[in-house]
Amino acid sequence: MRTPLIVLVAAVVCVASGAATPALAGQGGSTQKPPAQTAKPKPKTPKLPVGFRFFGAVESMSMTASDTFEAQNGSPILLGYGAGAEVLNIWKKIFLRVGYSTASVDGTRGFVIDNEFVSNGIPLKLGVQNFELGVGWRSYIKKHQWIAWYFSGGLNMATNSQESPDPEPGDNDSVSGNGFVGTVGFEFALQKKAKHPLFVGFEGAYRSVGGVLGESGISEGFGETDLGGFSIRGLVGLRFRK
Amino acid sequence: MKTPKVSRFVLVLFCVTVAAGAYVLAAPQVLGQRVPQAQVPQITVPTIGSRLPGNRPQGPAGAPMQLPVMSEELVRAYMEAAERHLDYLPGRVLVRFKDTADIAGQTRALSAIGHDPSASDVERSGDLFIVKDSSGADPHALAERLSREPEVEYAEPDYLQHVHSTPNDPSFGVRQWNLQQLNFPRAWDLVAGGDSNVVVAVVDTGITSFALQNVTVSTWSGSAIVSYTMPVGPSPDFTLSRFVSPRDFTISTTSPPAIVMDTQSHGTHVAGTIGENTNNGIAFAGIAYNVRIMPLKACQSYWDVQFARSAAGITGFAPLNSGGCPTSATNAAIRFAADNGARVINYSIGGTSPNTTIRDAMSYAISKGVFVAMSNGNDFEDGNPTTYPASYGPGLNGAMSVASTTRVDTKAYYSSTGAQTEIAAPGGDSKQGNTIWQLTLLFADINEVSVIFPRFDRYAESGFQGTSMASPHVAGLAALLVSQIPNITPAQIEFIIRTTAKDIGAAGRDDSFGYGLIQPRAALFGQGIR
Repeated sequence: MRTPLIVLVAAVVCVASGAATPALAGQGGSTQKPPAQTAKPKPKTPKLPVGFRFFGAVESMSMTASDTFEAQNGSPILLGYGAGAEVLNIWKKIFLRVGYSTASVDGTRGFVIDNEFVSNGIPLKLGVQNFELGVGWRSYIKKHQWIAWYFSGGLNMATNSQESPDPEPGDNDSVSGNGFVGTVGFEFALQKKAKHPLFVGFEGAYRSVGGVLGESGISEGFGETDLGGFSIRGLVGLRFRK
Repeated sequence: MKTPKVSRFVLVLFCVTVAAGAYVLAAPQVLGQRVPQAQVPQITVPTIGSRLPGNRPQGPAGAPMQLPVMSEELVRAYMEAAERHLDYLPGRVLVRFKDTADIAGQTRALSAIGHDPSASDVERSGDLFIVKDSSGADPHALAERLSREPEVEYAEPDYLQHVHSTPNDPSFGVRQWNLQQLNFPRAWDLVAGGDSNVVVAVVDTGITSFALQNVTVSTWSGSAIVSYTMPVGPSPDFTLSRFVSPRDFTISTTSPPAIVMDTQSHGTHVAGTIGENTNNGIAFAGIAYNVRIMPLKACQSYWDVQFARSAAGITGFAPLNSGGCPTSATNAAIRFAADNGARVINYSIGGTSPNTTIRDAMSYAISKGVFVAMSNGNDFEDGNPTTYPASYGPGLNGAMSVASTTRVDTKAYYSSTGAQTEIAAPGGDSKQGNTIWQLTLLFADINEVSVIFPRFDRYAESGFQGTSMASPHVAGLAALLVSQIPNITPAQIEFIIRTTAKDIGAAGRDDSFGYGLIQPRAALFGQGIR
């Protein structure tokens, strides 16, 4: 739990400092005379071309339902993978995102008794899938146009599946719930002058999804109801622009 | 008037039905499915209702075994209890001293009521003292006087409890509906009969734990005390190697013989539900059919009293209600089970007198990692009195009091109700035409009303009802849970059985069914994450 938090905080700090650099540089000349108010008209900002971004991702999810997943996984952290697509600059620096990720855990069934998980050894395969639909704002660092940073937020639909051998009807099923997701990330273009550069990226995200856990079973035993959590993602993809 | 053909046909059908019904009622004990019997000669069974000296059964060749019998003093106590309809053995008080009481203090306390602890009338049984009093004083008054001594933690009479079942007409019902109702076949897909390392102690009337042989006893022939050699053998649906550490605590609580013989049939029936051999083509299935059974005899049957009485030279037949389960024996049996590797105890025994000794023994067993299933009582139609030790169940996290249900998930008519009820399981209900079927001693061979020379080697499919029959369902399920989760605690077993039960009757816990009807598959399948 602590490691991804630290990474996320560091990412936010880096993003913030990166964004602040040009502004501070501008303030560096504050002793000089300000430019005349009657200067020539402000040059029109060139309209950013609409682009597309496609990526694949690996993800480390630290689940909010930490006791539940620790009982199954030995750790509340799930490793997953996913993919996504973005439409860039649909209006100024705003982009739309669609993303999907999935993770699975091989655990065991059992009972929570006095806040302790008692395993009965019957295999339990868990799946967690997230489908994300969001909108965000994206910008490039002025002096390093090959680095972009962005943030986004949106809806997150999460599905939890559970499967054991030799089931009775209703034992193996999947349940979905809706919540929200917020993401902050960097992107580094690996080909600085290419029109469609290959990039790598790093993201931190937070999801919260209710209505799936907590009504019965192990999650109820631990009193945990949220299927979300913090995630750190590594991205690889291609960016296209018209 | 000429009878129409159809009417004649109906008349004939009616007569045939009546005749068949009469046959069923007249010979209930022989209508059960025949099972392979030990190779011994068949005998003529005396007619029910008469008590005529029949032919003595012949057993296998070889030197007969001498059956250990209880002391004459104990025989007389049983006889007096039967004649006076007492729920305790007269002339005996159980005393437990405080841990802080040294020998001098114990001596002083016993002396205060006129007993010399060095005399033979004080017997130590574990941490209990059995004080024998020949003065004829009421043991309740004696116990109360002892309780007032500062060194004494508690003192109480040596209560006689009784097994909680009623043998029933075996011609009714579809057999073993109970295991199908609870979906045990699907539970066995998860844990097939349990683990042979798991031991379930059956504190009861015993389960015959030695191979077929002749046993010589003394008994009353109707005119004289005679030496009688009878065949005794185990149930053909139990492999002898599945029995571990058999002990007979009705003979001695300190040095119990390692020979157990069921002369009543209750213990064998109960053990059958817990773990009768399964998938062997013989008779019935048991729930935990791979676990080992610890036969601990703590109840004397009519025949035990009769044999001991004759051995002591007392003429005549014992009163028909002779026998019972003295606290001194059940206490020793429970503690023996706890100290010798049992993980589950079935206790289908009870009475209406509070019994601190048994409560403490159960508490001790739980502290040793042993789960206890106990019958809730069959006295609903007899004023529904509070029953013990069932009433201690809710206060013992790791012991459960089991009520009895019918084939349609309703309360069995006899099943006691009250705050003590924690869980329910099938116990049968003859009024609804369903009983619990297992293999046990052939009733016609042991019926004390009609038999003079009994034999204990022939077994038949028998339908019983009672919370005695419900309790072993829970004990069997507990044994499967222990097999599945070897380090599980008694409290965890209770939690799992309770939380997976099907809520029947009033919503939530209620006095008839407790938390509901056990669901073996759900208990063994466990929970997913939601």
